[in-house]
Amino acid sequence: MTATSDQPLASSGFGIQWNVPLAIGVIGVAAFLATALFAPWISPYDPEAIDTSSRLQSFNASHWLGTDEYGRDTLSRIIYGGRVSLFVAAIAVGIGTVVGALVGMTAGFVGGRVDAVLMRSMDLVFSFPAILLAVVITGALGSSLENAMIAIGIIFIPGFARFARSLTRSVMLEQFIAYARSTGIPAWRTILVDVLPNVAPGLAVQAMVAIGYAVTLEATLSFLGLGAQPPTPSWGNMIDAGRGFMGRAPLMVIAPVVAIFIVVLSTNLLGDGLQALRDKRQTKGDE
Amino acid sequence: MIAFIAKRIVGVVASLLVISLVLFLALSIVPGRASTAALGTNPSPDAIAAFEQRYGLDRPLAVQYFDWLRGVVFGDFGRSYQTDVEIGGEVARRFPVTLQLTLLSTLVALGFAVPLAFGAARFRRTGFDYTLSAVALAGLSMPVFAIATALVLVVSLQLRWLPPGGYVPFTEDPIQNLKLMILPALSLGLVSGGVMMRIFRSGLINAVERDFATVSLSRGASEGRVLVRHAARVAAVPFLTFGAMEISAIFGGAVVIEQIFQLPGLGTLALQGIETRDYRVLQAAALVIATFVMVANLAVDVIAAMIDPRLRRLGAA
Repeated sequence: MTATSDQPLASSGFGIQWNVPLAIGVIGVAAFLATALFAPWISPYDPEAIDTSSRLQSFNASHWLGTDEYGRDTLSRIIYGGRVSLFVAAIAVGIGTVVGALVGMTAGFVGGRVDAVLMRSMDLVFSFPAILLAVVITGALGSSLENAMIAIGIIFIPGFARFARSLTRSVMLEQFIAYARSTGIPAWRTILVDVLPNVAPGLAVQAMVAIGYAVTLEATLSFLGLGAQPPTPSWGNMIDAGRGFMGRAPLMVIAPVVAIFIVVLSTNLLGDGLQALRDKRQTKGDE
Repeated sequence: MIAFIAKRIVGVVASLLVISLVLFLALSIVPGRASTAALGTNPSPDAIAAFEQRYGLDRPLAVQYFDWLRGVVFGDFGRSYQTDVEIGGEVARRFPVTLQLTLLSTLVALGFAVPLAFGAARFRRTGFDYTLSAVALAGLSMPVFAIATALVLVVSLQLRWLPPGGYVPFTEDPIQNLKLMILPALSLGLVSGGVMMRIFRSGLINAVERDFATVSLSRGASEGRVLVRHAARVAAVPFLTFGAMEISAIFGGAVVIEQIFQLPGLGTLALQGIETRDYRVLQAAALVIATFVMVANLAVDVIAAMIDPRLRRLGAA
């Protein structure tokens, strides 16, 4: 029996063993998705509406999380900032997953020298510090949200490539692959028709978990001024702006810090919970 | 062992050559040309030609690359497009700042991770263990810059215990230097400490539940002794290999931390290079940091191979 840091709460009717981390993670991620998707309906104010008569306020009835140096409503900016984060994270993880899967499946399927060259270059990208890589890429392409997505996406490629390669290698042992190869079906077709459907579920789980890290990276780039450009709200640039007013309006910093924390913690818990489920299923399969 | 180390060194040098080429190409073909950044928005064609001739930018790319690379090997990174300062000297001045920051951060991370992992493994699957794991997960769920900002807010602005930023060289005033380094090193170390603690804890628990540990325990050895003397050695190898990834994370985080605490290190140099579109500066800073990470990883691999001889054969194969 493998050791997991959680106790099953109860068995639901869907064959999923729920546990506390998984439950908290699902709730947190669902809340994040909902606020991001429904931002225009939930948000009490226009996130970019300037109101100089109510600058740097603390908690109050009309501005629950206070206001910033231009009198903009912090809660609305948090909600819209989440939308920006989710959008960037989803596109970036999408880039990483698709390119990584293509590289990994090709390496795993073709093998030999192609495999060696592809995976070595992936290792090289992997060994470069992620934030520095993002900084260099946005430096070369210019500071914008689109370029931040590309930079973050590139960071994710090697991880997904490695994972896709290992999944592909295990699929390759199956008989239907040997059959497909023996009949002379072109490699790209076998990869897309036979390998991809078997690799995709694993990659999808991994992609879910990667969203949390992508949110962190987006916030970091925006904090450094290399991602979302003002006045577009992003949790990263909100924290950067708030640093100048920490003495008078600490909420400007605290609110986005807490938002990032909740989202990243939720995705990590979700990842841990899913991992625990997989471990359990595997031990069951071994018995 | 020597063959193993030699092979790894060749690998590191080859990797660095590729990185230098990619960095050079990526930053040579960028849209905003170096000359327009340095000469203003509307320079005359003559001024551009003179600028490009001065920095050798009118030569073929391959010639430029090998010329640059030859200089880099001897610590000459060329001159800044913006300030005309020798970049090599600037790198040498900033190098110790980043080195001190990353070393202190690693110490902080290990200082938290190792004792807490032992504690969690000793009392595994108790409330104590779960609480520690939850705290570690919470810690690693914070981006480095958010932790740093929160620490400045509480420790510097509210409690007024430590200065919020700035730098004094250790050789000038050791006490002030360390005072200024505490918050940066804590911010970086806490996140990596959370990651490392989780890796070491699961390694220890894995080891202490194996047969050799059970035998030791049945002979009357105390659980703490088995953990420290036997399990730790088994858990050390996966800890080193996975923990080595955190080296890269610490160096990446240093870029952000230096910016927040106004430390004149390589990270701020890289960001400065982007801000002024001084790509030679960015190239130099990125290459030196990459070299740093590779050498640190090499050192960790050698230590792991010293503990577990099987790794030598794997690496040399």
